[in-house]
Amino acid sequence: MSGIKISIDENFINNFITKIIKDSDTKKVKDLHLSIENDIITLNGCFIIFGKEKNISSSLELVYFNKNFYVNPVKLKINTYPGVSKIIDGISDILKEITEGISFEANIITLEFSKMNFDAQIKNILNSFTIDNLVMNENKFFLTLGIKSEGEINV
Amino acid sequence: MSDMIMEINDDDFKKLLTKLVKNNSSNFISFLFNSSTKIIFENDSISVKFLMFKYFVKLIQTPYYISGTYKFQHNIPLSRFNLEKIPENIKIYENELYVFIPENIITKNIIIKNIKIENNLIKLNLIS
Repeated sequence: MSGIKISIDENFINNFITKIIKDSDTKKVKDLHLSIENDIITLNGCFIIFGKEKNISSSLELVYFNKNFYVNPVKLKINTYPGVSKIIDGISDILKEITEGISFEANIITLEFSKMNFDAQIKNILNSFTIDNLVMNENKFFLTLGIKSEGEINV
Repeated sequence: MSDMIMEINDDDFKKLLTKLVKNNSSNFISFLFNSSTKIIFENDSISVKFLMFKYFVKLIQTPYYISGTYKFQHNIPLSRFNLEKIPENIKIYENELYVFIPENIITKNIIIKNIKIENNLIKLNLIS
């Protein structure tokens, strides 16, 4: 075995999101859950839109990632019906509690890890990894991270 | 199941830690991660082989969340090292070593279910 093997169950993520929503004290998201199957992430959430609760479903698809994910953006496409901006606003509220480096345009979510405001040691760790394999299936993420050799580190 | 499972082998663990501590000038850190040192995972311990010497660092206490203090036992002869330049989040005493992971919105919401160190692997099982 080489690299770091990570498997994440969707229930782990859902419990985690529930805790983050509670900690972030957002007023736009009441509940958000995801399910993972065949490389598609389906999101179901209860959002507060114009003061009323609304249940919204959408899906996320990974449309671009480079093995060297720290210096190259990761792009996800969100598929849903009109009103999506409210979902994005809500998710954005939560994520902004954690970090910068996340932008939304034309239904594309762009993650730029090098711009995220993690401390220097976390950035150093992220910049040490490559994504060697990513599979989203059977209600899980399966991720294999490689470790860059000295010459591959980008600053 | 609501788990996150991470596995890393001894060679990759050493490669990763070497990158993390490359700017640290402590000769203790240099000793642990220099190219002549072999790191071995076995029996819930991390063994450090250097020339004819073999030392161990054994994890004996983990925090409830991933942030907090990890306590290790060790038999590394500290008198050989200058301990003034080790990172601030590491405290080392005779036979005991403490590593502190700071809390943030992510680390305070992830719980350690289990850490196993065996067969050249660290297997970390987390729940949320």
